[in-house]
Amino acid sequence: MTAAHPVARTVGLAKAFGAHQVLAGVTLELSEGRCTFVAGPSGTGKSVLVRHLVGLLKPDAGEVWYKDLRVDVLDEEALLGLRRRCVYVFQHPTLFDSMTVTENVALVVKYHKGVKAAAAEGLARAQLDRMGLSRLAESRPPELPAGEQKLVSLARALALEPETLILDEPTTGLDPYAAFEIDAHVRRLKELGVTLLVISHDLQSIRRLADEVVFLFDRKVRYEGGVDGFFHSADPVLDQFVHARVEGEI
Amino acid sequence: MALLITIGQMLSLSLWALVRMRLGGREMLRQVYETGNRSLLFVGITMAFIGMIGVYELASTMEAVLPEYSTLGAATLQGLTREMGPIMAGLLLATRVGTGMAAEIGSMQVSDQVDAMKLSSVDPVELLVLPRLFATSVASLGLAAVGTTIAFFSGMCVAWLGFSILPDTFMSLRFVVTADLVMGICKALVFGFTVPLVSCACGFLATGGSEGVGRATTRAVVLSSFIVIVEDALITYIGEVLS
Amino acid sequence: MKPLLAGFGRELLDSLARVGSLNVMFYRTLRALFPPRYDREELFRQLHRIGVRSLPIVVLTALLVGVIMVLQSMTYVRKTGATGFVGAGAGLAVLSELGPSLIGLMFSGRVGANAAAELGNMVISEQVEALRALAIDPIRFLVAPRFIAIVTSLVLLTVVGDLCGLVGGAMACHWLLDIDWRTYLAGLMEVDLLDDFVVGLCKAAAFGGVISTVSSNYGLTVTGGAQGVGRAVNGCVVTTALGIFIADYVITWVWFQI
Ligand SMILES: Nc1ncnc2c1ncn2[C@@H]1O[C@H](COP(=O)(O)OP(=O)(O)OP(=O)(O)O)[C@@H](O)[C@H]1O
Ligand SMILES: [Mg+2]
Repeated sequence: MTAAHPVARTVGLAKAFGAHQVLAGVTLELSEGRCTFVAGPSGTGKSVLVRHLVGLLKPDAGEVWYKDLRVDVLDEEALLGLRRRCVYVFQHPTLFDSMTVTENVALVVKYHKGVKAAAAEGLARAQLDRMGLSRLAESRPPELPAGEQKLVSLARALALEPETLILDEPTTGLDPYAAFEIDAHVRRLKELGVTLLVISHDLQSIRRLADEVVFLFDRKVRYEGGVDGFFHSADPVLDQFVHARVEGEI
Repeated sequence: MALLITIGQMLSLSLWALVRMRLGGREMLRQVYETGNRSLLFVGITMAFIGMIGVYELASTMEAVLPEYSTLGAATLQGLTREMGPIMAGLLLATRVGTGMAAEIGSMQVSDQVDAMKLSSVDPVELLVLPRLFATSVASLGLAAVGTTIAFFSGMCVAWLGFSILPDTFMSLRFVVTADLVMGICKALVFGFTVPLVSCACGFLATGGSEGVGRATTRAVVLSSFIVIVEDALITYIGEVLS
Repeated sequence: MKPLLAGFGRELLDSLARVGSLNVMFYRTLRALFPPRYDREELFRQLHRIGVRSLPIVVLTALLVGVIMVLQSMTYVRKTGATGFVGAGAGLAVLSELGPSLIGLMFSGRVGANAAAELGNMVISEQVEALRALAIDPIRFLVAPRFIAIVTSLVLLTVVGDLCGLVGGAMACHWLLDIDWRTYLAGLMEVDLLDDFVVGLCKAAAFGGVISTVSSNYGLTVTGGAQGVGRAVNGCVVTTALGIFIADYVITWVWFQI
């Protein structure tokens, strides 16, 4: 681990849905300005884990911290303040279907910067422009292919200018080129010093971008450390995941 | 337009089934029970309030126009039998049962279950609509009767407690004639028949996922309530002409 | 007997829980209204969608209600011979009672059900969660503008509806009953209608509050896909109808006390 301060962390997090124990004692730390990847087989609770970081889910046990703020005890109003700084981008594109792409982005600007509608549109267009998405400005989300929807979701989140960004499987289900485009944005954010947490199965992305890797398996953290260690671990589970072997525990 | 066609198709199929006496008695009984049972509490509570409101309003109107209450009970009962009982029961039926049917059939439609039925050569109209259609007519009649009774008695309580009209004075059948009863029954039967017809048709026409189901359900409640009001005006007018 | 009782108990508990969550929703909506920081454009969009587009159904309903009430009071008039009652009875009934409540019921179907379905779909597709993740309060953004739009529209529509109801009554007199519409009008003028008009509007505002609160609550608590949306809409209209008549009774009662 580096000497950087932890920005967000969970301590002994546990969560169950009914009888289904999804997480049991997960401890995780995000270091400031670093890019942490969370990997793990489908359905291990990666999405569930990160939703706790922004208070979208409340843990059954354990603590969630953002800097000096105890997240899991905050009420909805206080959480709004947190979510302005630490933004979560959903796994599935959750754009508002009834609005155009520009309006989707402008909504966030308008709501948080307290500017008039016209000014918000202008800012939204500028944001889309910066990400090379101006061609989509007038489209409606349902018309767009998955990759572009994810890009727009990212643009909408970035309109908040967050200090920490959580991306839930940003490249899953995209063609290699679209995935590459997303990765390029992530790299740029990394250079800007944004603290990043990316959930991904995409080994290529992990190789290209990760500073740290956390591997979640069977309700717990199975591996936590550098990229090299992740790819050359002796742990049979990690070995199976990294090399996509058929036999094994997964 | 598509709605009218669907309703027409369902109507002809139902009548044809009626002619051939293929009604599946057991399933129908179950539906009567379900429909009646599911709506009874709702209709009962609502009708109790309607009765109380109606008597309050009527009593104060009478106070203004003819300053005495002797006809209050009789007028209430007559109004409930001919008009408020059936129309409110019809509207409540549209709300409770109509939307339920549209939601149910709509979700079957958007998840392709209806098409699957057709492929296994089961006629969805015969399976889903027919029992509901006749069951709701029967249930509607029952609900209107029960609702009217509840409304009358809750109104009586208000007259007694709020206007000091003794139950003896209130409980008077002298305005109600056979024609009123016939009109009430006709209305209840007609509403009970058209509400499921319209609602099921809306359900079958649902397209496109959960949004489609939402649209179908909304449409069902608006259309079936509106048709209840239209039919009510028509039947009342016909009754007026006949008398 | 046992399953019946169990079912009844479950239903009772569910209803109590629902009443609780409705109150919470109402309280949170009111809190979101003050200070008035809601989205003005969203408000205007909702006003247009909700108010303007419900106009036709409200006008038609009100006309028919007027007709029905005149036809109905005819039977009473024939028995008692009080011809003045045609106008008075129908007018009072339309303004203070049936106008608001039937318009409210139609409006609940047209708008409340629609809002529940819309919000429900946003919940299912995680758009509401996304709003929260973007630090936007769903109550303030989605519910508060709807609340204002629904209450305002319903009050205004009831004004229009009252007028249409009275016109409908006149039309019924003229064409269906061969009573001079002036007799009807004279009957109408005999009683003091202003009070009834005002109480009708109070009712409309309360119904608007009920419709908005119930539909937002049912919409935002949807679970379980397309079927869940259907169930929510069904529950929404049922609860609204119940709420409308309870509110109606309470207001009528309060009105006669003062
Ligand atoms: N709201 C919920 N209610 C009930 N169960 C849930 C809920 N959310 C998640 N789960 C369950 O928790 C488990 C973990 O879900 P999660 O979405 O976190 O997996 P994941 O690791 O993100 O997988 P994927 O790679 O498929 O996105 C799943 O088995 C899921 O069924
Ligand atoms: Mg996930």
